[in-house]
Amino acid sequence: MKVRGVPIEDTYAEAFTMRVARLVITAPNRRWCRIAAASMTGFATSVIACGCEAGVEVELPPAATPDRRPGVAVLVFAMSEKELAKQLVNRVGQCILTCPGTACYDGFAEGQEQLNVGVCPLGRTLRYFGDGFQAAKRVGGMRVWRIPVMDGEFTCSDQVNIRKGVGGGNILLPARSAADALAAAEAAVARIAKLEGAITPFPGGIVRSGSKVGSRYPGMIASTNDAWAPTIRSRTKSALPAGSNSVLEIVVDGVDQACVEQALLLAMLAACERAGKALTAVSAGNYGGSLGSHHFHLRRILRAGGKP
Amino acid sequence: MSGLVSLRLRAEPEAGLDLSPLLPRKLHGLGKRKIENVRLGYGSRQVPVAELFQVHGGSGCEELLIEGGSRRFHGLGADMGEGRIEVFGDVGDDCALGMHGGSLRVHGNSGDFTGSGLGAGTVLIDGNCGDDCGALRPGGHAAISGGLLQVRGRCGARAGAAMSGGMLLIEGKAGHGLAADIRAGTVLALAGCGPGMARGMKRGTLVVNKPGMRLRPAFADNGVFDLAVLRLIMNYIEANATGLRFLQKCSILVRRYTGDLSSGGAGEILVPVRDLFMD
Repeated sequence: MKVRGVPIEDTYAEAFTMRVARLVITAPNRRWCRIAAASMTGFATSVIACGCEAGVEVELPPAATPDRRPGVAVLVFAMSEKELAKQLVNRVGQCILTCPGTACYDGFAEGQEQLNVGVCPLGRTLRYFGDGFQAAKRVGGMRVWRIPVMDGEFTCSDQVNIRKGVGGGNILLPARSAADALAAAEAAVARIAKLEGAITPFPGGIVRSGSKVGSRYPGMIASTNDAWAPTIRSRTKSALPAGSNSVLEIVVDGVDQACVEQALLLAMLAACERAGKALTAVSAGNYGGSLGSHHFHLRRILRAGGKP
Repeated sequence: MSGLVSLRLRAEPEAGLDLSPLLPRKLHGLGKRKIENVRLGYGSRQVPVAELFQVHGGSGCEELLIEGGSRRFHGLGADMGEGRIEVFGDVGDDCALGMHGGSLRVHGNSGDFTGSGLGAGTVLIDGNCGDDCGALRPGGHAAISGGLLQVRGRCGARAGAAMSGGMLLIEGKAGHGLAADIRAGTVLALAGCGPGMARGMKRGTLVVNKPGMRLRPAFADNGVFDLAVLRLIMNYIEANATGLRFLQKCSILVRRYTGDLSSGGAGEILVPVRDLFMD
């Protein structure tokens, strides 16, 4: 199978069931929404060492936020409810509570309650910062905490819902040059950014250091994916297509399997459209199928998306 | 809509009429004949519905319409948990008393203790309310503790007194003693209120849309803020109340007073710097 002359390898991305929370961050203007979201989702590229994977899902107009101010929805993924709750409390406490003018609400508060598998006591934990001056407020079905701070009040949902999500969907983009790989990857990320329900948690949405499980060194749970590293192709069992001199990876986390599939489809199409035959293939990373419960077959996704 | 039962008042009742048995849940599954035979307290007597109302529909009552009202209608919608009641006319005291679900609308005025003990659901009074609207009733367990009570007209004295949750929205002027002894919840007086408001307030929020108003010394001025929580409240009202659209402003500044200082001072009165509806 080829798309725009780019071979699509007959392989699949292997992804994992994770736990996900969606937060809606609002602020007096768009600039401070973005600053708060960027701060809160910083150092959240991989659960391997960051504790969670997080990113901006979508920017929200005032009419779509609980307090009618500009907003940003962020998705935060972790491997367990406990770890996710810990990450949410720490990140909101250090990055949103501290940010001028912001408020933070549960993004899974309405609709599809049957998908909720747990809750994080977010505001309920952060309220103690108020040192007794905090106050709870119930507005309709929403319970928030109002924590007095130096610029007024920090308003935060009492609890945020946790759902099952899918993390680790990916595509590999080997190309003739580093510039070609980067252009293709940027196009892919830009397309995913318009999609609701999915994030690309790595810097700019792109990974250059794809990893394999394990290492020759004890204590390392992951190490460089040498099969896709071009500078050592002669020293390892290389998986690189001929003519490849640079590979970049797009990792996608989504609120469900359909979102990840849609994101991978859009990413493959955008990358092939942008780079054309400068891409030597489109591939994906997996662990033999034994670790992750979600398998995203690239050709199957493209066929379902209307590609022959 | 399926499951509609309508009652047309034959003549103005001559004595107090207890309408509390007329709940969609209780009438559900009853045919027309059985509904006509439901007994209502009428003065010192018990009378069948048919003596006072013409009944239309039956079996599967989800919505009850009452055409014609009277200030002698008491207890309408009391203890209602589901369904919908709509009255085209006035009602008397204890309307929506202890209601805990569903919706009730009165196209007219209502008497005293309207919505007292409301725990959930929505109550809409298109006209004016008597005294103690949403307030704690003598012998009652609670004032409003949840749900939304919207009064499009004026309210008498002590509206929202001892509230412990939910929301009371008064579009006309409220009488004296508004939100006295309030423990939690939100009261909005969109056209101002009489003296003695929030006396004994322990917690909760009172919003009085009367820019520049002065408060008793029992309330301390904390300054002017744009509070996200007020935006949440306004958003909720626009989504759930009837016929209200606040002016869309990029900044909604309110002066925040805390008090009653003689009762702990943890409550708040928010007074908008500029009218919530005027540019």
